[in-house]
Amino acid sequence: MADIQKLSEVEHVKQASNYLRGTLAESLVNPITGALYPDDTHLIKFHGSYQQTDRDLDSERKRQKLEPLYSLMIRVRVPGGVASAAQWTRMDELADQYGNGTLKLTTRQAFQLHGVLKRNLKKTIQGFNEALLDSIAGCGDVNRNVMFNPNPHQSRVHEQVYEVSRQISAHLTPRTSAYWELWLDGESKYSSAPNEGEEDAEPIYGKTYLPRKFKIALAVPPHNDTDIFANDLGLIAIEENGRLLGFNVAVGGGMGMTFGMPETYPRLASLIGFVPAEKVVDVCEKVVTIQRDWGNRENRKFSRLKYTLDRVGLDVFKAELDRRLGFALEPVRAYEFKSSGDAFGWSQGPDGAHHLTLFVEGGRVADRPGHQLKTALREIAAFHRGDFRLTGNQNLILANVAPTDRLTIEAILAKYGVAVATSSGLRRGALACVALNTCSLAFAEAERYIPQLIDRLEPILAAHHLTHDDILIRMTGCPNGCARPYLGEIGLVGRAVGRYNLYLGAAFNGERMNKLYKEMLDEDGIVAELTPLFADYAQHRQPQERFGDFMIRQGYVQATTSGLTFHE
Amino acid sequence: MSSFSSTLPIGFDEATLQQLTAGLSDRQLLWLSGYLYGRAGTDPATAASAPAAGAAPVTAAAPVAAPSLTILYGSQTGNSKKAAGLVAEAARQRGLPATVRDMNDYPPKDLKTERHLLVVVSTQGEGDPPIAAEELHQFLLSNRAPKLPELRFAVLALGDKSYLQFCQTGFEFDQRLAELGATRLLERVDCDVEFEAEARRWAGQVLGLLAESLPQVAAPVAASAAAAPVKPVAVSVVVGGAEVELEERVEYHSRNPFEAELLEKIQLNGRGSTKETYHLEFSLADSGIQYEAGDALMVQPRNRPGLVQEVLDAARLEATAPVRLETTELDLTTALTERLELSVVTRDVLERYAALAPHYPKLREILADKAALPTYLYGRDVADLLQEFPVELSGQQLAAVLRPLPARAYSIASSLLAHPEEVHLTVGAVRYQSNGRAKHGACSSFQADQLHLGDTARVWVDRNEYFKLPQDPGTDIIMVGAGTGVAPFRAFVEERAETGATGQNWLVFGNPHFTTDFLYQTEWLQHLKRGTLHQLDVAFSRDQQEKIYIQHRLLQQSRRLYDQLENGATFYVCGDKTRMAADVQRALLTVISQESGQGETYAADYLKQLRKSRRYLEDVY
Repeated sequence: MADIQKLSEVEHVKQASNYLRGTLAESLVNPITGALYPDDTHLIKFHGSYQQTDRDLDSERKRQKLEPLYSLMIRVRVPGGVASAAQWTRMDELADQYGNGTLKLTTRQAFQLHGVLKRNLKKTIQGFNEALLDSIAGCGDVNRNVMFNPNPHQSRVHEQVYEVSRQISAHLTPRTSAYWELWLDGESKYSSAPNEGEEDAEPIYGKTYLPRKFKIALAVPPHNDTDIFANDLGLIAIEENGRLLGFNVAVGGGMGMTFGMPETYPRLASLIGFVPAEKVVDVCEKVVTIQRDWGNRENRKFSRLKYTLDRVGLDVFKAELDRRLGFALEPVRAYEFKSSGDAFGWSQGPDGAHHLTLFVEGGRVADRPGHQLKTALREIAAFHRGDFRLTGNQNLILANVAPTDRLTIEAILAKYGVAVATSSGLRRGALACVALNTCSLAFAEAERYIPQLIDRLEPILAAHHLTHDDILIRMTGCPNGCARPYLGEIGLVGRAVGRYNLYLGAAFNGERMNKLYKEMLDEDGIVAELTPLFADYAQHRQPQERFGDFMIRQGYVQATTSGLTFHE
Repeated sequence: MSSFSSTLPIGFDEATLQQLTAGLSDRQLLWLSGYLYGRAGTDPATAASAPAAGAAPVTAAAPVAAPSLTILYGSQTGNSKKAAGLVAEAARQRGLPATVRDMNDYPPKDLKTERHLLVVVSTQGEGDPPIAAEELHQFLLSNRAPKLPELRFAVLALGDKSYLQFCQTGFEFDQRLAELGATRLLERVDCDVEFEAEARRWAGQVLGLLAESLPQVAAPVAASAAAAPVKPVAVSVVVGGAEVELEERVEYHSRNPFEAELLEKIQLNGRGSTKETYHLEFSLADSGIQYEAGDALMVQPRNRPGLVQEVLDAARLEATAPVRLETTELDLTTALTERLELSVVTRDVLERYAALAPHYPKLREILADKAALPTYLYGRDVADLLQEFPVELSGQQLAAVLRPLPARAYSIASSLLAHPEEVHLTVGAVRYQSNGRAKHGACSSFQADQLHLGDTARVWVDRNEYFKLPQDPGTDIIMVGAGTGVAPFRAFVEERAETGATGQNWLVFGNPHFTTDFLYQTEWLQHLKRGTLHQLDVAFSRDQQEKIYIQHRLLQQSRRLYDQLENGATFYVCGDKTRMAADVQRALLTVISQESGQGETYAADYLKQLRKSRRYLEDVY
């Protein structure tokens, strides 16, 4: 055990919280501030919410002798990204009623509401519950939303793996009754609510939960749209004739790092073996418990599994995993990933079902002049008999559309100005985190700004006939990596307002990270740096060669081979 | 009094003290203490003795002597706070007493009382101070910053070398403190992202330097006070006269207003509010104007240029037409702008106007119907009248019809102890549509729209005899105010914080919306944190389905309210006269009746007694 004196502040808060209660009940009803008590700001994350301020207004409000405009972001878990039409409708309503009128589809296939005032938080969470949704473990030092390809085309194997992802999610959901007690007045329509009279206990997590967040993603090759290597635990489904055999297991991925601290770095997960499908939940639990016991609880910058692994060594970790499992993992099976992006437009699965993948810029479902995506989707949800699938690239699939509904859906989209195909490959594949004005970590803009940057890059791409090439661009407002920027063929990471570091050379299929190319670029600088690279790519690329691979072959950057060499 | 004679500065014996204070009441003594403190603090020659004065019982009102070493940090991400903690720990290990303070909670005026100051501050983005440091930074770089010849300081700047304006804020603090006459103990050190080792080194160096001088600071203050005897002139002002001379050295009034410079103007309502409330800070420098918490400030407005033009147009008169007001000759525009009331039509104005316009029978009808007259006059201004009933008249005739432009009274929102030589107001801009034209309250819109920083307004103090803090600082106070009615309570709480009053301060505040209309929210939160406000209840009427007003909060706190009244508390109400004050009074009667269990008659009598003993006080308008 770690020396108690040295434990980080958050560890003490968790320890004293009585299974995530803290003083949240009092915080919520304190009428003289829109904020929670400081300790409770850590605990609220486990309930799926971050306290934020409108940073655009911080300075102005301070001068006005008003506290910052505090509000809460709430993240709703959607395992595998599959939501029913009724659930979509409810989220849409809650966004208008208590949020800022928009829905954010996250890079982890979750819904986010922004701008919820403290006094409305409970009513909002009760609204989720009525639609059989919850926000527990949306954030915090626990296993987060479990990701899985929403891809409905491989319908048979998808069904089986989706079931596994739900089992993993349920198995690793915190058991504390604090969530039901605080938000739902002890009542729940949700099946995993605790039984009456049971005392709180966390058989997997223990009283202090994990040292840090923990992320799991699953994928069926050749699609790696869940970016499984960016996760603490990545599971690659291995199938045979549409039957799920099991999973290749990869451990220790994670994107976050801190500028000025080269001992922090993004890292891709390492493959350690294969496990049959029926044992995969057990593998997840054991990886989680090793990290629970071995992870760094003194300095949160080094708490993720990736640092634990690089500290003890992969072999030691594997041996411990085998010991805890009581069996050894089998050798890794062959697989091939081809892409990490989404394919847009209509498609038809082998079972004849129709699916429509829609581009959602920045994952933001909103009504804007001439582009009323939110209204269009609300109208569709009213009759759509299939489901809504959130992709790991912040896009949306209307899955299992009845053939008779196709024309109606197209008409509604047209009526509200929602185009199915969009301008360029660059824009289609773009990922951006929320950043300013609500994320407290952001140094720079991301979601609000990347469309403008792409506006400037598109004519240059067009001049080089690259408009329809899929080039992955990813932007974050800070180095913590929410939009997985180190897996972007073009990664832009905010350093200061209007200034970005430019990273190049990631693999299109998510199997190699990029490398720092230029620092502290403003918009003109970014455009000036990218322009000759696009020209070179257009002229000298080989057939089928991806932009990220080309950057390495031409020597613009060295290939990043592991997290430890990311900064080299 | 002999017990403290040893701490008296040289040239200031007990007899002098007796002579100075003979015949003064406790209240006068208290007032005097603040006056002298403020005076000593603003005079560089006597500034050194200010902490000494703090130790003497006569100046019980003054804050305690400044700590010997202050470590002041301005932090955004927590790094500067951490660095300040490292420095404090190093000081503790050396046995040096140090106080760590956050710039966010640091009243800029405290700078004057510092003698040894270590500043740790970071720089954000492109050279900006952390939000927590903005206020102090702005103050320090402004012309309002005091000279700091007694101060010794050093600056540790935190930053990130990859930014162009690396450690800019630290640089500015360092440079400005030196400009203000402070002595730099050590060259500034600029730290990059990895600051800890550098911070420790810096702490070692600077504390080494301080170790030589700090014991002198910790020693009896008399030593430093002796070096700077109280200037006789400062004393003679007080000795020379009775209370009258103290309070009214120069008489400012409507005929001799003080031209007060506007130092600060802040719109207090957040974006999206339906309200428009301003916080204004005026300078009283060199005026000698004194006021007490609870007093009002008279502000002489000027009419809006737009309204003056509309009146000129409606009357079809030349802007330069000469008019005579009493003995003064001036042009019509000036008279309409500076001297005559335009935004309100009163009965007497209407009567005089009707006399000039006998061909309008309707005017006579309006005047005859006394019951309907207020409704007619509501929202009508002079331009409306001239447009509705056009009459051929001269500038002189128009001037004779109109009333003199009156000054408006505003409850003062500041304590002179907390803001020496300043007076603050909380002004709600009055704007509405009436008779098809946009109407603006004369004085509120004058301050909201016409008065800019650096401009002056004509002001004088209007004493409010009874709306004052209790004589006994141990008495609890209950302050109930809606909207701008919170103004005098800001003054009360500041005053009681400055004087160290021990009674409980309870504020009940109401306005439409929490997010945008919580006037002075951060100040109240600070007072709560510091223990200078003990209870804060809020009612935001429009934040939920049902409307919740302050009287509902009083009813909810029924027991506590009654107990405090029984315990001798004074109850204050400020704000809207017609609705709020009446509702609050009704709630209070209910509370008394309910909690005493003795019924309505008893409650009515109880309230009457409260009024009689001046423990139920209203400042309503």
